Amino acid sequence: MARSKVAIIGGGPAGSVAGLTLQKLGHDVTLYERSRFPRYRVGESLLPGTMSILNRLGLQEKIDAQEYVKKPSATFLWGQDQAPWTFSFAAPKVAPWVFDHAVQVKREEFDQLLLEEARSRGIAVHEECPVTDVDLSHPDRVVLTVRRDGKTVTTESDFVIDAGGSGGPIARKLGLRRYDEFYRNFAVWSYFRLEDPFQGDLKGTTYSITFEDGWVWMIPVKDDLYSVGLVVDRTKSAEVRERGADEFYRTTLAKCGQAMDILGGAEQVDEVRIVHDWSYETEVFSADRFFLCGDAACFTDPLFSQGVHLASQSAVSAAAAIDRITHHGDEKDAVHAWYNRTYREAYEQYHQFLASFYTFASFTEPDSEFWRKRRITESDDERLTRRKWFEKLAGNGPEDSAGTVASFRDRASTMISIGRHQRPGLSDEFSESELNAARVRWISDLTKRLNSISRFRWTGGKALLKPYYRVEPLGFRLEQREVLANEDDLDMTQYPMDDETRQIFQDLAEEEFGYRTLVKRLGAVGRQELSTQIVLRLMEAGLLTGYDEHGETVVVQGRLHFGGVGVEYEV
Amino acid sequence: MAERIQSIVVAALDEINRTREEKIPTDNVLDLCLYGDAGVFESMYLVAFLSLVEESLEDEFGVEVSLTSEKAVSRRVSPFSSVRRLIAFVEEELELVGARG
Repeated sequence: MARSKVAIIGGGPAGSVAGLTLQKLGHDVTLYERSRFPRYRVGESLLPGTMSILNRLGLQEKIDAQEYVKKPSATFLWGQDQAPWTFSFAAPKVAPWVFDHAVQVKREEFDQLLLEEARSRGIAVHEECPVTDVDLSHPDRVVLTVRRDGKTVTTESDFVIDAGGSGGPIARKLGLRRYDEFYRNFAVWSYFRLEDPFQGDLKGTTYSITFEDGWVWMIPVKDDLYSVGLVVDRTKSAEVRERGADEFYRTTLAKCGQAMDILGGAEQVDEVRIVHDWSYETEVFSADRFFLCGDAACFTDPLFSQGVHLASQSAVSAAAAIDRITHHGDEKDAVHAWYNRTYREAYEQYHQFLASFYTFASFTEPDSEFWRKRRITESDDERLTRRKWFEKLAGNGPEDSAGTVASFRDRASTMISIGRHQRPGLSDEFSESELNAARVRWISDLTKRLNSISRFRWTGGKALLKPYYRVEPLGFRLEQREVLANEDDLDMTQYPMDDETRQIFQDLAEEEFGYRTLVKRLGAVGRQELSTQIVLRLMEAGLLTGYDEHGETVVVQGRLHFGGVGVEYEV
Repeated sequence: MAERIQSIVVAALDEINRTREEKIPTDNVLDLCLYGDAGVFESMYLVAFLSLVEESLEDEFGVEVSLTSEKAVSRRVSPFSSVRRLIAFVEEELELVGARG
């Protein structure tokens, strides 16, 4: 079996998960980490998809032994005078690796656990070894310059994964990074000694709370510690310089009454820390012999706690991609195209929802620079005109600009209505089961909308199969699969398809039947349970448009999906 | 009538189980929670499951029954909290329209 030598830059979650996956796939890995672990990091809140990946990498027992705080949900006090709402992670266990919760971790412990696991499985881990240069100019190898024991050495590998965080060398060297002008925040945070103030279904949840100058995160980590951070506009940095970080933190946090209510008289037990929190991405996530993972590739505002998840998901994907290229060198370009596309789509998914949630809150918070800057009110807003996802997201053509912006704001409000609590404030009385009524209503509304589709139109004249890739959920190998597309290469990549299913859509392109018929026909080829998702994803992809009996377009509002390699969560 | 409805529900579950790795347990099917805490379906899967059941009901009884009508979703105890409640709801609906028994 062919093997590759892979160098990994960075020993955070992206680097360790990439190493563990590559090792599982049979490759030789050397990992260089600039610091010595344990080392402090912010970003304590994880998502269930990360749990799922770690479970399948065989870390479940070690994770369980840490007794991390179980995170059942994320709770938002989003917009003034709005009842709290909760994204619950509750999910039926359709496969052993589907998790209904995440965890809150001390990153210094969590990151060390992953790195030690990599070391114990035979990966060469070198701490206190910064990579100072990466030479990508050779067609057959990568050359790294590494500082080690006070000496500069060079080392060669077949591939390199840059998981070196925001300071990772490859994006910097190649000048690939693009900042998002509209989300230039900075975060200021510290820790409080506070026993979780809520029991029952709020216990362990992450709070995100808006106030006039931005929003506050509150995360319960182990040993009755609460991480409490402010996300504010970069223009506030002048105030920090003038008044000092401690004073700025104390007085700004005091403006957020709901956060202060949760904190009560809790004692601050750590220093105040500050970090730039600027959203960015890179023009290219991988090419030739390099892959960027985690913060080395992209970063977006931490509202949805997606940082470690994007890191671990991209790490698995990069490892699977390297494995595929090693065994199928002729597919190199297609595999890179897959990696770039799937990673960018995952990142943009969070970015879209972020923009939607900020816009929603901007209409309920008092007028302030933070919220004014983040409000999207016109469809020619620069954030939208350079992002084709906006038109797709809103489901309207450019001729309907007012409707487009309204739909965009509604996206957040739809999700909020699903998770809204039945009382105005936080309370121990909250139970996740009280959300079921709103969810059932949403399901009912969705079903009615879908059932009202008497005619689907397929975009283009042909329903075709085209090759794509999918990471196999247990083995983590990248496998070739076929997905649905039309003759203009518009495609839907989430679900692999076969010729029997393709024929249904070819028939639909010619006969234009409605939702009920389509579901029945999908059921006949064994796609019963996935039929609704397939239809919705084809609509999102722009391949299907539904019309009711009056010829009006039927618009379906999507929810936030987040993947976990082989499993998908929706909130 | 309840037995016929139960057969339809079980057939729909069996149909879905054919493509599931973690099978939905059907040994104590009446108490099976379909949606909500301990429910076996997430929302999109529930939509697909209900479509399947609605389709079979129409074939079996010759009438359309909406399982996501206002009446269904406004119940204090959701018809999706257990198969038993779903069957009871369907039975009521069928009796109202005088479906062929």
